[in-house]
Amino acid sequence: MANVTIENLTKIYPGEKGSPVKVVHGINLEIRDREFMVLVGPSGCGKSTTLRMIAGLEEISGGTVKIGGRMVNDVLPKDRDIAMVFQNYALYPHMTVYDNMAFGLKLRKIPGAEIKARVREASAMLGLDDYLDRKPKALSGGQRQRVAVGRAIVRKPAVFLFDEPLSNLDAKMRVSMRAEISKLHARLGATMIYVTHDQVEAMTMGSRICVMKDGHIMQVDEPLNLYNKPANMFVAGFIGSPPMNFFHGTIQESAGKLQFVEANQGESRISIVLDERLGTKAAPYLGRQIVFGIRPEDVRDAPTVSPSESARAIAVRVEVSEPMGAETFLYLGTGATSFIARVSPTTRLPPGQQIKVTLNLANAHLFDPASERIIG
Amino acid sequence: MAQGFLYPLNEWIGDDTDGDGEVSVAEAKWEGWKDVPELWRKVATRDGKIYGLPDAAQATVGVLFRTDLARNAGLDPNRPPRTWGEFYYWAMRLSDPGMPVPGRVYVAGQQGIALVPQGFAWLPWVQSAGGRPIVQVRVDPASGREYVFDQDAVSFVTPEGADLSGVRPEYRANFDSPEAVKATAWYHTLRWGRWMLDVESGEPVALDAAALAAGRVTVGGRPVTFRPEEVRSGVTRASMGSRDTDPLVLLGRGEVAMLTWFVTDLLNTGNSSGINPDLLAWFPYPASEPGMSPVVQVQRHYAAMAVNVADRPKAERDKIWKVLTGVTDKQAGDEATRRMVLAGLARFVSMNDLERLGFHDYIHTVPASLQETYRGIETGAVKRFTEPHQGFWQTMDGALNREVLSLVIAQTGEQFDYTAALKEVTHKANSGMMFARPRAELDKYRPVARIVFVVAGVALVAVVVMIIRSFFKHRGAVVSGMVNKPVLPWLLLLPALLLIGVWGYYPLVRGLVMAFQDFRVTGDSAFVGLDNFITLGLDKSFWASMGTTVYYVCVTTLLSFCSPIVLAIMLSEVPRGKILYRTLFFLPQVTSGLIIALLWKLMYDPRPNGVFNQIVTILNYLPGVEIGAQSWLQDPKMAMLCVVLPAAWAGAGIHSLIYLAALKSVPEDTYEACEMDGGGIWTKLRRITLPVLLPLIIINFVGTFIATFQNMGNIFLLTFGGPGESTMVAGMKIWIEAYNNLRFSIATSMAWVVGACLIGFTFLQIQFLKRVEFRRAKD
Repeated sequence: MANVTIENLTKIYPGEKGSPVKVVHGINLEIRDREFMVLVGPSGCGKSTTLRMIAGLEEISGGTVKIGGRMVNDVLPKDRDIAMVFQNYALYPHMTVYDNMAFGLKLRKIPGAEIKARVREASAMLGLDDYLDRKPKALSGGQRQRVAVGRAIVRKPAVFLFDEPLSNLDAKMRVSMRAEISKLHARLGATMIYVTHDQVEAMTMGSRICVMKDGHIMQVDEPLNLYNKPANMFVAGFIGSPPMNFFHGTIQESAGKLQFVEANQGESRISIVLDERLGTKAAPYLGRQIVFGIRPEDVRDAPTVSPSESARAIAVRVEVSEPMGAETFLYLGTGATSFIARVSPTTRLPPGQQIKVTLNLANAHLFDPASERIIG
Repeated sequence: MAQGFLYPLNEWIGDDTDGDGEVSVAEAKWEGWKDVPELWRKVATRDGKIYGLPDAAQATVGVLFRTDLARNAGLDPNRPPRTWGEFYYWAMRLSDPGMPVPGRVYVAGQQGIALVPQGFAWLPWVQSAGGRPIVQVRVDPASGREYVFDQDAVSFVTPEGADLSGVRPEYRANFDSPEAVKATAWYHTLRWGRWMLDVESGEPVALDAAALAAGRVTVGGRPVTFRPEEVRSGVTRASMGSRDTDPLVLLGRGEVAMLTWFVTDLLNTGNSSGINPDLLAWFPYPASEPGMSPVVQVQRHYAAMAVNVADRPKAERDKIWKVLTGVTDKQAGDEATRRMVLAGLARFVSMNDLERLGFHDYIHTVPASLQETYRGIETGAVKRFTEPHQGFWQTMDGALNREVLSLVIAQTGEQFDYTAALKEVTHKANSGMMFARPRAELDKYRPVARIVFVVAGVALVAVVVMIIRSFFKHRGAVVSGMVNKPVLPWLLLLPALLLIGVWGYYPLVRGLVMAFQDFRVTGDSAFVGLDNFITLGLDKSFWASMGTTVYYVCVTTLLSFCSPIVLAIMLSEVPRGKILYRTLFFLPQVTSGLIIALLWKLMYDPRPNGVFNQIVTILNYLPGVEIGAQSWLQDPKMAMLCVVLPAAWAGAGIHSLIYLAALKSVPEDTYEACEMDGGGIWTKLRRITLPVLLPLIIINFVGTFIATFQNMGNIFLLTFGGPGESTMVAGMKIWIEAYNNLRFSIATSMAWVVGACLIGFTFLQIQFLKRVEFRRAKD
């Protein structure tokens, strides 16, 4: 097993009209041994490119990749002691499941008995025992992906690389495969690097998550830290579903207390009196622009509002109500701004209904609108 | 005659009343018959039926030469060579590779003789060596003994006194007799013999192997040493029929001084080759040794009446008969001669004609050497032979040309084994090509043939049944639902069935019937049982052509089947300009195959200024490369490759695009997965690309194989089976048999043998294909 160290990793593509396009901007990342690192971000953020550079499928334009302390920039993929699972499975269509898994071992001249043992072990682990003689075409998507995983497992690599392995599966299959890969990680105890654009996968699977955007790393941290302490507006908005609500406004002083006043004019604008924690953070921004962020679950609807809070209640109108079963999402509007609240499933509010909500300021965040960084 | 195209003229000439197979002068009711020489009467007659009237005028073949060039070389045109030795001396004197010739296309200076590979022009050399290329064998019915007569014999009295003129002769070709070998060796000497010019005496000296090895030769008792660069090779320009080797043009330009050709009308010859006819003269083929006779060849053309013409009313037929007698009449020729004399051109008229028509005063205008020749012909000092008039001489002429003479004359001819080739060609001549195989021989093989045929037939039918059954295996499932209305499906099938039936299977069946007949284009065709197949089975050249076909298929497969795969793989890897390359590769596809073949033929020009030879010249600038000009299509070793290349070149583009499409269906990440698994480029190719392409490759392979097996278009256009038989594939042979030799029955039997082989092979391929498809279905 091994750690993976990425230093100043850069990728530059030759652009269409001769001007080079930089897609990875000198990122640094340390992936610890036995860690499940998830690279997540919207499409085009450079996460797949980064993974492929680690794999050796893309040339490294700058910086270094070290696997187990060994610099591998000029090492062929097959010699990097890694295995990769592709989004489209990339199985060999003319080979049986068994041969697909055994192929890499055969090429490495591993003795036949050993190959057999390893393939059996992997197929048992993945529940593929009954399908070893089939061709990939006769398998379902989930089974195919399992074969692809099996092909990686039998190699016993130091590092597993996953390139959006679940995005071609249907929702249900995705959930179960998610769990299986997590279990696999626990069982194999291998270093895994997993690329996805799905923040749920990232949250549920990763030991740590690396959020990327436009070729830069936004934040690297454990899932709950990312959720609770986003470093910037991007991470705050990307991690969590529904995303964090943002209100743009200014900090004003009123009656000796700092308060956030929404930017839009008019009667319905929200003004929030900040508590002590937020107040200290917001102090330097008095009279300046600021972004107020709060997650949907911290927006409470009327029944849960305690009398002490009712003074700070905001009057809103219910635009849409989405009962999810375990919870209900309320799409709320003040007339000028819209935001989302995550409320108890028992809440039943017809669209158009005027209600009052309060905000749990203990979990609210303030962001600098220029740098988009969190304040404090 | 054999095909029944001609209408017998006995209606006007008279019938064979005594049943001896000939219409004698006494039997004839037409006056003109007695004026036709006996030999020509015999030629025109078959089984008592007369099929043609010979032209009064005859064509003579001899050695045409330029008197001015002879004089320039210090030779006396009035004393032409009488022996081969003298002829060789003339030829050497008349050869000067360095001589500037105005208007020449290719720098070769002046050469002694233009050698034409045509068989008819070679026969007199054989005859001047004492050979008899064609003889007739007549068996005395009384004694059962065989007697050999000349082909031109008109009297068949045996030394024992029996007259065998009523016996049907069996003709035999003697193209491999010692005299014929000698004549061919003579061609070889003229083309390849080494000689030099002795500086001191100014005389040419022929060099034998010993002299060449020693670098020394004795001239008039005086030893002369020479350097290799002084040695000259041959006295010949080869007239192979390619561009700028037309023999009359060469003669006209002065690139050659002599030529064996039609010599009768020097005025015409002069006009057509663009030289003053007074500068032309001719002499008979010289005798091979002193004491033997010089030779001329005479040819006569016949006028005949086609059967469909004779279908008209009697009155019209009579008119046509009038025309026939008119054009062949001696008087017509005589009138033309008279006019020539009166126009002051008596010197170009045959002395015999001048004498016969009373123009004695003009005889002295005929050059002395010609007078001597005419006198010699008259007295028999110069022997006259007719061009063979039995059997398929035209075919034979072509075969001698293609398989022997051309190969001696060609660039690559010096090492050519003409003795073996003559033997081979003679065998062919006597086993069907020129003369029918003797009946007794056919009878001998008949029982074996029956057994082979039955076995082959049963095997073929079995295979066909198996193919058909393999298609109907799943019938039950398909028919359901349509059972109630069985008419509609058949109605829908009808147009296709009719078309395929009429254009596909009807000719096939007709062909099968023809294969058992002695087919005649008009008139009745007799059934001959397995004779055609026996003839085929015994025909070595047919089996050789099957071998050539397999070779052709292999070369084609290698080039036009494998190269697109390689091309496609390369095309899929090329970093930029893909569209440009694809377009370039595809372009030949929109060009007609005919044009491509002819373009390549131009580029294969064997002369040094041909396109490919120029490329070869450029290659020679590379260090370590030393290649001479190649003769491409005329080189038996290279011809097959040269024939296959144009089609391979033209087809590679489109085929590579098909493969490219298949390659595109392999996702990039499959290759990446293979790379991660430890595969290099070779593994990727072998373990991923090829398996993915395999079904397509197999389908293409079957298609290419079957198409190639039958195809002969490019061979037809480029080499016509030659040089020799080096590109004689079965398809080409069938074509030649059918349309050159008019032996449709043999051709269809050949086609059936080829077809049977193909059906067997196709069956195997279908089995194989089905397995592949099965595998694909399980994917």
